[in-house]
Amino acid sequence: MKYAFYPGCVSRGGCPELYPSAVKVAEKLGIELDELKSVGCTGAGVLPQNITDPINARTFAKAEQLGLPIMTICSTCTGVMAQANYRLKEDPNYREKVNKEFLADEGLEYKGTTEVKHLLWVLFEDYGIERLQSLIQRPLKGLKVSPFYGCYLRRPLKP
Amino acid sequence: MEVTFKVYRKDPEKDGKPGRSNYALELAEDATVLDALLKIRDESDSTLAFRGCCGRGYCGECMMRVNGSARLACTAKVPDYTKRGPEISLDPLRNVPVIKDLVFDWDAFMWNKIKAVKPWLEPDDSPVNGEPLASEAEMRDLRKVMSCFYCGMCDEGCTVLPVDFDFLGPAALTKAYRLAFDPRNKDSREQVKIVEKPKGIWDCVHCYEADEHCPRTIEPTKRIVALRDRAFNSGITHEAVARHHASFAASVKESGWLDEGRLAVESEGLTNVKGLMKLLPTAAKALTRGKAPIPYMHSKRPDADKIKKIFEKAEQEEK
Repeated sequence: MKYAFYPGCVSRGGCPELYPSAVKVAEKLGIELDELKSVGCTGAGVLPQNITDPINARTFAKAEQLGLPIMTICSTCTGVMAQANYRLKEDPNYREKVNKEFLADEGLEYKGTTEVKHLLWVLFEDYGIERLQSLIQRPLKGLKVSPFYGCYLRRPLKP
Repeated sequence: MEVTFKVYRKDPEKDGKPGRSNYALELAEDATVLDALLKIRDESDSTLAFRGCCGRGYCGECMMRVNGSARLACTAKVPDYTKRGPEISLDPLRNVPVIKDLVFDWDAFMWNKIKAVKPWLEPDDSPVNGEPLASEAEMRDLRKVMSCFYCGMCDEGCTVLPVDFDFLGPAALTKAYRLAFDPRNKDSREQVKIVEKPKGIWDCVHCYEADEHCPRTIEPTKRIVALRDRAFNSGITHEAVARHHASFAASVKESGWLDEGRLAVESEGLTNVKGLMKLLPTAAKALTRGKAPIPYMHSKRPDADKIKKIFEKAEQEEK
């Protein structure tokens, strides 16, 4: 299992424990990570779509070149990229326009094949809960869990 | 099929305390929840209060929670809700003032907010060729929004309303979009100015629940984002929002990614001593835990220049 790793700014800023712990988890589980370093911010839903869709398309094209799905560890990055990817995949004319106007200068093209997945989805869908269960060393029984995974992880609900 | 409905009850003319009534019914395989409610009222309990009208998902009257999730009772097929057992719970929406049983106060929930966005069009006084014109492309987008039938599903799904009932909510903001983006409107800034105030567009957390809930796929969140862009691009933006946006954009433009520390101080404003002082306790706490990103100590991403080029080109096109 190998992913193009997109850590995002928070795991290097306000939540610095996130980056090393994700890397350690991946190491332990034998998930290979190829970090995308020369790509831009997703826009986090703050910057307008007409600016961030091309920047995200560039990220998807870079992962596509590596032939890898993108793995994130930030709910906001996941949500914003998944929405942008949905628009670019669904509408070939729009993708074509973004490619021509923004990516062609660099010799890049996004063909619309990249997947964006958060680490939690990777664990759940690709790695498998049963496989994960077999690795438990210290069960967290009796612990009350209050999850905050971030609603963006589930966007868009449409396939 | 035999199904038991556990229905929320509240009668202001009795003790006004919430309770629940159970009704066991024999229903046809294709029965809807509204069919069941009508059967209950006709055959076993005429005191049960609920709303319903068109019976075909058109009018939005019968909004309620079916097994906890907001649905139109008339399009909710009973067999879809009995997979986990032959019991179905029916409740009014979350956070609405209940009048009786499943009937709640629509004015407080939605209509007062729709009224607040000035939901009418004032056409230009001097139209071309005698009447105000709109292009087909502009109308295609607006027609989608105009297909809203005010069922309130988006407001029910909203994650802000449960914590701030005064938030205008996706239904009213979508109405504002419908007017602000109508080319026949004399002053399209008017609605933008209304929704740009506190409790409006900037209070949305864009969780996209509204889009997931809307039965007409109107995508209220997309409309709210468009209103934000309109507010921003036409200079009707609250200064704190403008500062936040400008700092975010500058950081991505200069380094390819976000400088969180810089965003925190620049959103308050570099000359806003009071605002910056407010940040200090959080900053100090974060520092002691090694979690404070130091402003302007931020490395450039490789290819930052290429990202900047895309950014500037997209900005140019916008103008």
